Amino acid sequence: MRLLTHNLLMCNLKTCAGQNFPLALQANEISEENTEFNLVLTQKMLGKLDWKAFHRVADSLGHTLPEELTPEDQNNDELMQRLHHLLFNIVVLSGTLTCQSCGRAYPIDKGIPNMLLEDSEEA
Amino acid sequence: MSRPENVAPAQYYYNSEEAEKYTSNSRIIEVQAHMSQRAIELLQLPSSGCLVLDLGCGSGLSGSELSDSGHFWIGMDISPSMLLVALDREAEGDLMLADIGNGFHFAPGCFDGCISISAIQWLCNAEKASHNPYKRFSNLFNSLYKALARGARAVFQFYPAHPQQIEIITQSAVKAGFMADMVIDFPESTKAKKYYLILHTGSKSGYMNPMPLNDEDEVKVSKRKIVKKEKHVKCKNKSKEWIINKKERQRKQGKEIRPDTKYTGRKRHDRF
Ligand SMILES: C[S@@+](CC[C@H](N)C(=O)[O-])C[C@H]1O[C@@H](n2cnc3c(N)ncnc32)[C@H](O)[C@@H]1O
Ligand SMILES: [Zn+2]
Repeated sequence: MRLLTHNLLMCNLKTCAGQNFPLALQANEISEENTEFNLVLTQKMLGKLDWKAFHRVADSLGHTLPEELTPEDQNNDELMQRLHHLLFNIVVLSGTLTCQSCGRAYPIDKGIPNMLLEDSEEA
Repeated sequence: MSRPENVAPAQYYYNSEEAEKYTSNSRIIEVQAHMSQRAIELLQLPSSGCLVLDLGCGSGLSGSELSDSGHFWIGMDISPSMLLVALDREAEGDLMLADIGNGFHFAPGCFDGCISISAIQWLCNAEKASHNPYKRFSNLFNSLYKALARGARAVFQFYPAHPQQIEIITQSAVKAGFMADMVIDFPESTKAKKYYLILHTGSKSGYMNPMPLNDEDEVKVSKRKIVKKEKHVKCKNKSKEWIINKKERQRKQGKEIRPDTKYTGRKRHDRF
């Protein structure tokens, strides 16, 4: 799971809809990939991010980002490259996503979050 | 031809053996690639560098086409084995183990588009007593409507078992707020005929109305192939006993065969 996905994903339980963002990330194992820098993609993703949540999760992994993002930052090549790296190259291989609202934990194994629900949890 | 969704629930049908077989069959690779390209064309995404959801992404055959078109995708599938094959193939998208019939929750409006290739016919089956296909389609479309950006579209290629299924699926999408269109490519051919359900979250202004493909030559080619195939397939109705016996014979031949389960040869219900 990449940090982009973490920034968009919410608890799968219906009862949590809307008040469950972001899922708390416990990363046990991380790999760093080496995908080619894509400026257009990175710029487009910025519009979708919850910056506060992204800032916090990056910080927890040892990457310090500016508190706020200004429109001019889109032209800051060095920052865009760092953001591309954080969004697309950092892959959480194993760990847990925990809903801060209901406490439900979703395990991440081999980089794949398991969002399956138990029968009793189904919508 | 038997329909896989009538054999066993997807997460059992696509076990590691079947997932490998599926992803190394050159005919399947080609057909899935074509349909995925067609679905991407029908999406009419505004630019490159979009974020696209792939529902029932499997081993990433459909996702590869999204990557090749310069988009990033997040894929969901219910079969761990298919997802593991996607990892082996170094799929470029992000993967998630999930049942799309249960719905999903993402930041509202975050996706620029969605494709789903050869997957949603699986939702027509009730796999458990608690499953209600109507409910599951409504979970799916309600979640999707929220997750898509306003003006974004979703394209579903699927294999309806009968016309009412199309009706029910379309109605369910409309109930969730979508405007729905259907494009049928190669309508004259039993084999090449393909259904694409196009869902719009907003007005259709700016969307170029697509023309169904109708290539005479392609139809002829596939017709010839069908005639040949049908001779082969003329099989008797396969009873549970017949299947178990056949599996036993194959095991004796030293082949690796899926263990018999309560799903083996079970006739499964279609609640529509
Ligand atoms: C024929 S494969 C297509 C895979 C991929 N889209 C492609 O074009 O190659 C159908 C996929 O749908 C998945 N599927 C079936 N039911 C599902 C469900 N309820 N939730 C998520 N995925 C499902 C199956 O596991 C399988 O991987
Ligand atoms: Zn929750």
